[in-house]
Amino acid sequence: MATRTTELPETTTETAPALPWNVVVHNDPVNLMSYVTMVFRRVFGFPRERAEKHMLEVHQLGRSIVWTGDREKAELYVQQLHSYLLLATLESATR
Amino acid sequence: MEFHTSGEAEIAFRNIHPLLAGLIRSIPDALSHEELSSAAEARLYPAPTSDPDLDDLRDDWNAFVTPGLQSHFQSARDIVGADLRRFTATEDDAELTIPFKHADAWLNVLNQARLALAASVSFDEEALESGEMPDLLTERGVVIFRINLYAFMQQCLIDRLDRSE
Repeated sequence: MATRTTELPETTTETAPALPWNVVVHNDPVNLMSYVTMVFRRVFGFPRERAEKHMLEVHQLGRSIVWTGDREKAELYVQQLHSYLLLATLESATR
Repeated sequence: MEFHTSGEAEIAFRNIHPLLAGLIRSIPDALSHEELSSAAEARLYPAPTSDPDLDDLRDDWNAFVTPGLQSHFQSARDIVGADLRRFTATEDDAELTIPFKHADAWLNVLNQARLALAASVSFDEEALESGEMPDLLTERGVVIFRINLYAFMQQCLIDRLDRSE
């Protein structure tokens, strides 16, 4: 039986890189600064200095972007921060 | 009121004045469904985004994440409630002993209570930082006093947790 091969045009599939999302923590007058620092260390594994830097940003500037990356993971971080009762939101990093 | 650590297994608040003991016993009351204002509810379960284009996220959050958070917070309240039932008191003072493994639940519930109370009286940065003794003859003053008392307890627990890391 004769076989015939057909040459297909070469195609490439490219996936657009996922757009980044920010996890933002907002200031509130009730949460203790030491508590916020402790939560940042636990949730993100930040060393104390970095956790304190973000805590002070929240306190002094009203908000701090604590993490940027893909949406699924950002949602998980916001959920974790809410479980510690921090005011956290998700926002597109490209706006 | 004094904070003590007894080895690795327990932490304790001792020499608690009867007034403070009453306020500590009332922690669960601040979180009862009857007491919880809509403002407090909104603070305990905030929206995951303020982006107007992300309604789908808000809907999913309410459907799937909020029930999980409610369950998580209730578990912590159950642990604290059980510890409070073992709260020993005399006419003059009281002692609250907390198993160290319950420290996270206590931190969480104290925070729930503080946030709920703060939402009920629109507690702001100014009230927090005034440094003045609140007027205990007013309802707002008592609430601010409770928020500060629970903050003191939280700070003791955080210091203890810090030492164990």
